[in-house]
Amino acid sequence: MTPGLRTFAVYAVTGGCYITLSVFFPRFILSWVEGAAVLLLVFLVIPFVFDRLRR
Amino acid sequence: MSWVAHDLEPYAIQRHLGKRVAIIPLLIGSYAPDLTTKWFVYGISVFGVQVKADDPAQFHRGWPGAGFTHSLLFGVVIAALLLLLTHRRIWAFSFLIGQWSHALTDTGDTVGTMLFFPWTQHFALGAWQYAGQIGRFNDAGAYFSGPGFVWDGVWVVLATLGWRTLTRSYFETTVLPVDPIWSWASAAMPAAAVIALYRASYFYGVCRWITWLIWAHVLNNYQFDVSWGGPMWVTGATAGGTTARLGMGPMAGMCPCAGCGFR
Repeated sequence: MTPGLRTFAVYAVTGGCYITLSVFFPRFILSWVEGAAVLLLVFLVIPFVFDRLRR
Repeated sequence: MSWVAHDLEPYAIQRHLGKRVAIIPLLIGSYAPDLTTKWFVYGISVFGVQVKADDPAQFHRGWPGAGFTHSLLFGVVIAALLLLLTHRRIWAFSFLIGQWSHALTDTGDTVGTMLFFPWTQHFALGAWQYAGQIGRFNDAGAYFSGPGFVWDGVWVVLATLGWRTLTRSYFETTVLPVDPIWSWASAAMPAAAVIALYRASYFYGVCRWITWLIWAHVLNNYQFDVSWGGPMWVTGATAGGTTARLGMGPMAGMCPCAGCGFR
């Protein structure tokens, strides 16, 4: 899998999870801030935690 | 009102204008007219007390009210202030384009916008119902059942067709060099996170377009009606006698009585 395709797959899976959660809890989740927070969680927080655990 | 168009229009504009615009002020401009007013249109509960506009459409788009935020002049004033304070022409120009796109897009519904405020004439295409007065969830149900969701779908397609603007190489060669905010962000966090922030509005826009469609038609049973001025099962708001129709609107032949919903 190429890096570009892998990145796309991560976005697609993140989007799928976000949509599933939002459909059932639209009052709490569906806003721009939460959308950006979900992306930052996936692309900033989780890699950071994994990096720390690996050391 | 439009739901997803304001998230995605900036990416289509970015695609066409390239280095002549900066995406952050473009997005802020695109959100600006609703940024401080939308919560009061739908209402919020503060310690059990409901805080909401008495007449949401009047407050959101009218005068007296906050409708001036949807005028072309509002964009010019804020852009001029931005220029004065930051001396960055690209920020001012980008904000102006974003705000104008919002003001023009919102002429699509039955209330329309006071484009040429202080002239308080509303310009409305009447393509879909303005239903902010019935609360966020019912408004979503109505919007994602009528021509509004088709209109947003056009922007989903246009922004997706311009997928190259979302790539890392486009970001590095076109978006990053024109706006120092991205350089500051790049110094503070990894590249993947910075690019994720750049893509956030696209991600959010597409996700919520899909989400509300599923919510309205799979989890709930709102009826599709994509006819012009639809959905007809909801009594939408209009700007009363002050609306100038740009095209064929639902106001023609409508009963002036606000309650009966006869068309």
